[in-house]
Amino acid sequence: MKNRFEKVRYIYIVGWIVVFIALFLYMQIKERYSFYFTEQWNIFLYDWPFVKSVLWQPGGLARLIADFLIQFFIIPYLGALISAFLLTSTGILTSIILKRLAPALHLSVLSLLPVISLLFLQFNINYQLSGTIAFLMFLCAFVFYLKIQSLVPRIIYTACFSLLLYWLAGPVASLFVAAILLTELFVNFRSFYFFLLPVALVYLLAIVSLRLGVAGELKYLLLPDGYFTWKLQAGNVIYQPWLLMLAVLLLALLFGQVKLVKKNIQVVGLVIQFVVFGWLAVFNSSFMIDSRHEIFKELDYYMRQENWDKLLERCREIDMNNYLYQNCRNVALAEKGLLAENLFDYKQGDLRSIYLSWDKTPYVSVLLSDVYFSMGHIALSQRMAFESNESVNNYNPRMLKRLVQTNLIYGAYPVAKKYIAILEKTKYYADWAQAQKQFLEKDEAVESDPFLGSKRKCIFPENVLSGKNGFDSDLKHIIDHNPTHRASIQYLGAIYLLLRDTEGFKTMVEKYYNTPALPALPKGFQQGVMLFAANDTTALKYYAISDQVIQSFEAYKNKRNSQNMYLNFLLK
Amino acid sequence: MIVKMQKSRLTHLLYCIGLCFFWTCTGNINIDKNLNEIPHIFPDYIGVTVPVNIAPLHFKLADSCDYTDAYALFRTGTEQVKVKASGKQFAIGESAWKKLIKSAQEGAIDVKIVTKTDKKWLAYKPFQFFVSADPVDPYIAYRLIEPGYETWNDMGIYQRCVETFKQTEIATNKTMDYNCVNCHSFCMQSPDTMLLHIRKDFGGTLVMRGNKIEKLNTKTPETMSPLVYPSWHPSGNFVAFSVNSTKQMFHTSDPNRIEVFDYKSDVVIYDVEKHEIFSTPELFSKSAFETFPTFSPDGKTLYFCSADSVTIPNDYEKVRYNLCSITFDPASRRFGEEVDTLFNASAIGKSISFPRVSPDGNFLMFTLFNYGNFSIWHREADLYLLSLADKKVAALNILNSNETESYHSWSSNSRWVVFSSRRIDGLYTRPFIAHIDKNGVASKPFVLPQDDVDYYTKLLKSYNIPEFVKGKIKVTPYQVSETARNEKGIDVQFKN
Repeated sequence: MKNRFEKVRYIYIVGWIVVFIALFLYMQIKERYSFYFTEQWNIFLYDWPFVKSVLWQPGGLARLIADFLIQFFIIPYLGALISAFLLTSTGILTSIILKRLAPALHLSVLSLLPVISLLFLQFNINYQLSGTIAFLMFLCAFVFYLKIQSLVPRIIYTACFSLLLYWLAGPVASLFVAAILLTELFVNFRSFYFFLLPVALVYLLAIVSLRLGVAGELKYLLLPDGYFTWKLQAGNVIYQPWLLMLAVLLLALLFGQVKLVKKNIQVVGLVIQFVVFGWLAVFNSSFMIDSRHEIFKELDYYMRQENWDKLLERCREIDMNNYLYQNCRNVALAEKGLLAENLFDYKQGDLRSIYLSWDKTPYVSVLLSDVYFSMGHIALSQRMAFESNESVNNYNPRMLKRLVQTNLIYGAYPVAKKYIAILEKTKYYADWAQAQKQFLEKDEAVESDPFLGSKRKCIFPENVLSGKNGFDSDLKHIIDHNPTHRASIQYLGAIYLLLRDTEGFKTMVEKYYNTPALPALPKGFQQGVMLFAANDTTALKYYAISDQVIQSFEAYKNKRNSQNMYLNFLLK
Repeated sequence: MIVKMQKSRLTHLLYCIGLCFFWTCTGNINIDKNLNEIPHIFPDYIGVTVPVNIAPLHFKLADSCDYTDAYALFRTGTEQVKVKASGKQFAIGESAWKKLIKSAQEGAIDVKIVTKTDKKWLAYKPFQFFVSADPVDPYIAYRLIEPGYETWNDMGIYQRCVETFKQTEIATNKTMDYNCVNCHSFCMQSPDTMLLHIRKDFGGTLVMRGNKIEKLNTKTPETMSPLVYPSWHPSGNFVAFSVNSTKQMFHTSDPNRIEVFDYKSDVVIYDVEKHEIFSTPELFSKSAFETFPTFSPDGKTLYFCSADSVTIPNDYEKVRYNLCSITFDPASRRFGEEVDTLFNASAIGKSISFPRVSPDGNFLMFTLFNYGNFSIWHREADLYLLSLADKKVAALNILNSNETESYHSWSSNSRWVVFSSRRIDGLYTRPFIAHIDKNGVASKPFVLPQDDVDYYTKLLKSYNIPEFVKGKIKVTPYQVSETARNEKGIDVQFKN
């Protein structure tokens, strides 16, 4: 008997270790870039007033723990490791609950249903990890509840913990009281109505919170919507973990009184559980995961790391029929000095391949901040960094870094110092922030720094309103003032070509060819020159157009090579 | 009697001895060296004039000042307090502060900082907080929002009790699907009569009078936009508004970052009882941009800013507003036929915004800057004072800095102004309070005190439209949200 117990315990432990490893491997292999992406939208400040301000809100502790954990997502493997730990803990606690309610049944696989639901939900960029933390807090509170045998202590515990949970974990308190009410209905029907008291308490708290202006609608205070970006509609998917939890609880309660189950029925039961689990996993992975988002998160990570080679390598492997990807790739090309050379070696759409239309989302704002920074348009880069940062309550460390850079570039040192002071209170940005202090109030240090100095030269003295005379005009100002900032002219030429603005391109080439800004024409620009000088041998010679480009153009004209990507683009 | 006098003298003598002892040797602090310099403190409270009912002034020494231990020694004629630096901040307790500031009425609080460096105690030269007996209105209402740009997340209109550090919400957008809330305005600093706008979903203007909240839909076919910049008539029966077609663009190189301009604008008056708006050709002209209206305290004059209309955005640098006025008869809703130009700013190559008349009717404060109407993005913007008796204009140099000074409002007793300034970091506006005496002489301003000295450093929002209020505003975010969400709103009609 003891051996059997040991064996079951061993299987149990090994089973959960396998679950942990499987979760870790899945997330690390398939979704690791989600963790890096999530990290940039949160901040944890080692600062008591910050901690206090978060803790004070309903659900504050859950949010604080989530923010604390998310800061580690920037370290490779830690995101998957932490999430695997949280999700495995969720599974273990759920299985403990099911085991206690239905000891004769083997429902361990069912305890994975909330896990699988939370797993995929966390890759939704608008879902907050505090939802998972809160769920764990609910499970802990529920496990303790199940340990209390006497009615009165159970009522007192439930009432107290429903209040505590509301304050510490937020809306999950309503799941807590609902789960307990359900349990009491089955287990102690005659006294279940006592447990309407905690339900009423949580509702009352939510009403008070509403009256105090904590939120505008009850759903943010009582339902999982509170763990989703409030600005957006969460959709029904956000309810899945809670509904699944209640469903498995109901199942355990329905069959909890069964004392003995035949072995073949147990096997059938396990098979059914695995089928349900498998179906849910497949359904959620196809319904909740958008592969396009995952690719963008990966490219975004390479952008952030300035790992241009890896970014270009990845772009060669994926379908580039997406402006977000094209923006990332063109930044990589520009930063490597290859945008003008290889412009038409890659799939391009139109102007939006260079810079997307701004849709006011924080994600596109970050991308555009990077694009404009690469161009040398510091004003617009700063603007987009600011837009992105303020739309997430100013807690995007990546954009705070950009704001430090742009303000140092502009010589707006007191503002840069302010952002530095905030980053200094973080764990992983403090060193970087401290290193930037050397530039404060020191124009010479900024100007002599290869990175900041080069960007500062992009700020031209003859101020204009951005885009007032056309975006190309802004870039021309930058090029005139800082011809060594090569990305600017690459972008300018690329913009003209992608707009099919031959006249603009011709004027640009005529102005800048043989100057420090454009000492020689890269291949993409030579291809552009063919548009207006194909029959002008003097011009072809002057611009040193390569034979390959000329032959390619002639072949196309003679219908011998209709697969020519750039000419298909430019001439059709 | 003689015994009593002797006792009194003896007490006084003992007090003086005690004070000297306190000043030179406080507790176990033996000053090793007296420095002949005043310390650099943040916020800069050195030599400021504060009202007797202000919250404690917490401060710290400049970051460059290195020490292992420090004390701030506060002294008035009868009170003395020693405050140890905690977390590098000198945070005097509220009750000690109240005693101290009461004892210094119409006098000064001397402050001496002593620091311990290399096991030696150094004493800085003392400085003063001057205390005015003129009380300040107990509340300031403001909006907290990121400076400029287009997107936002959390924003709200808040009230802060200036006598304590307590801030409470009036209206927040988290209760209204993250809409924009703006342009709060009070009738003669009354907490019971106010309005604010909500934009986008649930949009409208909420007018609160007593316990009644009314939602208005203020866009009419005759006006170019919903109502924008407000100013209450002192009777509470009218509100002057501008209607504006506004856009913003971004500078490439100018440190001012953003330019906000009106393509066109007019001024109208809203009749609170009749739910009507009306105007006059002098305020509703196509050949001029009229904006920033404000009533005189007697309600018989409407001040506003007016500029010749030009092509926007091409000629945005040529827009210059003058300070104008027109008479108004509230009984007949009629305006005078002539517009007076009180200050021709364009003649000196400048532009004017935010005219605000002191409640006693003696002064008009305004913002002067190089061009345009959105002074908050103009670093050169400064505050000026026009004496309405002799029409003389003077720069308020003691209030101004190298950074933007822009929005301002008067306290109900006309002795204090609160104004927004970007002097701390050049970008985020903070509310500064200054004393203005009956002759229009201003004292050195101070930033609204905060419990945590680093609050302003960590806060990434600006204080927008700081307004003095005579008491606590009772309307709650819930009431605002419920009205905005559930009321259809009254359609305002344009009737001239």
